[in-house]
Amino acid sequence: MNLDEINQHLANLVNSGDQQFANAASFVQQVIQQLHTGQMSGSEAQEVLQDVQRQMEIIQDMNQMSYKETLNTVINGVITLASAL
Amino acid sequence: MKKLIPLFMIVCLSGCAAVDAYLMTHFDPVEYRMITEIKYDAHNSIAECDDAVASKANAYSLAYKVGVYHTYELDIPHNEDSIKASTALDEMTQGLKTRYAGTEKVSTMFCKLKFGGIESSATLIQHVQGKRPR
Repeated sequence: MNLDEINQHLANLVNSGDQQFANAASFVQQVIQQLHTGQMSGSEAQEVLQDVQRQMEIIQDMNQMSYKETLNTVINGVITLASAL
Repeated sequence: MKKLIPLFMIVCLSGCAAVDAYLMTHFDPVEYRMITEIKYDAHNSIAECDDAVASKANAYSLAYKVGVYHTYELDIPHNEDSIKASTALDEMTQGLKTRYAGTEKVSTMFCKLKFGGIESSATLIQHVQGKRPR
């Protein structure tokens, strides 16, 4: 994949309508920019981009936990209602 | 028996998801305190990124705190999502510490992006862990 293709994919993600993916893509664009201007070394950029993947994992794990919390509230609500029958 | 019918229906409909949700770890003030400290320290460290000596000390201190937090999460039962999230957070922080432990100069931008990423991840984890069932 060349740089033009990467930029095209990033532009598509920024305009995808999904806030989390748009933010991540925008962040990657900034890192590429900083790499070009010499504000970061190649190995630093690599480490920061690996963090984007780790942050996406954290978002996924916390979404999962958030669903469980909602389901837990629902189950306890149903148990309370059932005990009143 | 009549009282158990709704609960039985929930378990039958969604299977393991409902069991996981019902058994999930409840709110833990120690866990919440740890992730709050991590978020707070990461936030304050961003402002010191121009100072290499202070940033190195901040990176080591944060790596220690996240390491303790991750170790704490590991042995809590029914806690898979937090274990995975703390593992990723620990990797992020160890990466920062390793960079400062090396001989190459660490750029201010890298410092800001690393501490910023750790802060935003800790904020998300804190937000979700704070909503654990009481």
